[in-house]
Amino acid sequence: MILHKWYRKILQQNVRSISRRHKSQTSAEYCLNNVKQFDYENFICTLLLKNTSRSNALAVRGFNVEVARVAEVVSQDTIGLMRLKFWEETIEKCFRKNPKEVPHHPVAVEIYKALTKNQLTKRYFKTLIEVRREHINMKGFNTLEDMEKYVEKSVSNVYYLILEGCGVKNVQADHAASHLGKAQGIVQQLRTIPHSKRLSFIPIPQDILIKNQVSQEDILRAKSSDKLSECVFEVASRAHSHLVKARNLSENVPKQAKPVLLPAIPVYSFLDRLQKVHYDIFHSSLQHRPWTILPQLYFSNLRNKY
Amino acid sequence: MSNTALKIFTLGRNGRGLFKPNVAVVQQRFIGSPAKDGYVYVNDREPSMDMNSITDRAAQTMFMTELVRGFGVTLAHIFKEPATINYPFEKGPLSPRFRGEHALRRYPSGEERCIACKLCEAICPAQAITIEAEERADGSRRTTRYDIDMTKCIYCGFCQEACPVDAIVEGPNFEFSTETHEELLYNKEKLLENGDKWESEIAANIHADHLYR
Repeated sequence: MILHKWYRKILQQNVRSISRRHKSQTSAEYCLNNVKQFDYENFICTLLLKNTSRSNALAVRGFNVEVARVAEVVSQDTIGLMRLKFWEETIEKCFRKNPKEVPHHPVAVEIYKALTKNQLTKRYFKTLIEVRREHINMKGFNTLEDMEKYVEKSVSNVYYLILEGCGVKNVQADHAASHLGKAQGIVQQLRTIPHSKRLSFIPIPQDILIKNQVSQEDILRAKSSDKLSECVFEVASRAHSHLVKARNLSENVPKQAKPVLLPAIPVYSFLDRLQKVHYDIFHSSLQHRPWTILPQLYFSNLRNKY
Repeated sequence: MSNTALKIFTLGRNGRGLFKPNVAVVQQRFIGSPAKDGYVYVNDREPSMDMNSITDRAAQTMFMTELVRGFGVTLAHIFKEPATINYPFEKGPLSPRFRGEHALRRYPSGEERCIACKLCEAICPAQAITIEAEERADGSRRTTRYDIDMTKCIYCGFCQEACPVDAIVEGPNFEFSTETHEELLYNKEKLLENGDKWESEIAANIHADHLYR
């Protein structure tokens, strides 16, 4: 018994020393670090938002990181479905506005806080989970349109939620966000190509591969060829056209919604670099993040453009 | 006398004969007489070309080369880096996905991560995990009991995959042998202690560049 008490005491001291070592971290900081680690470019763009909309955006982005990583970290579909079910229930509980029910997960707490301050639509959260559930054992897309549908659900919905958090209810803003989400989602898929072997996932749609006679093996083995560049070009040009559409709508987008759409700049930067290396997706220069993005983002934010 | 010296001389020159008990030489020395007609054959003898002696010679050459090659291998291994490591003091490399001893993690604030959702208990194929939970005074749901029977566990890693809050993980530690069975029935305190001990290693194993899906 004495030994047990002594053990507990040591344990408590241990815990205290640990919490002293890492200084106390709020749930907001947890979301911030998570987004920074897994979604750096969006993290930078989120930092440029104004105070309340920023904490809302971080909650939404943190949530997106959690559900997006599910398929990566699990080895069996059923386990992934369990995790997604947890998030679905968490969203339900957050929307019931009862703080006692909200599970003590930093992301859940942040979403709950965001809900008390803003009017967010539950459907968008649901779609984010739903799309991950449908595609949990996704091995690739059949057509470019399939891919567009997927990224529209998985990326654009994040923007709708962030726009709602900024208090913007505007059709034009949503329209621009939809196109930007598609562009960003497609670019994300392109950037996944060098990792396709690890993820056992072919990010280029089947029909384009067949049309250009590129075998899936070439992608898995990371062999760059003219034919593959042609495929990448086709996908990238779709992303580019969405980006151009989003930018053309910028005149009608309300002023306070524009900082939300700042991720257009890293997307454009990537497409630009891709063009410079002649659509060779395995080129080493595409693996690095250029330092110019940060000043670009800052000045675009200053001029209220995207 | 001079004949004998000459004979030794020829024997020395015919060095090949030294390696095998050369019956012919022995006979020549003791039984055979020097050339009767006063000639002494001083040139190298022509090697006999019948099949038997050719194969004999070939086998002998092969034997010698094998011997030398064997010594060569031994010598090379003296200069090679050893394949073994000095185990308890040196450790081999571990994959970041290595699944070793379990640990329960905490948030950096010191609060434990586990929210008692019991997904790990449900997914565990060996049914090694037992959880009991109740509500705390502050309203949060926490475990009062979190036991893992490490002798039942098959280290499949499903528990860490199922955990929505990344609380239960299989850390990089593989040296937790004990003397008794009871010591391998881990309780919550032990698991949390493991988490505190291995947190930096566990955190370092989680890494990604951007969102892939």
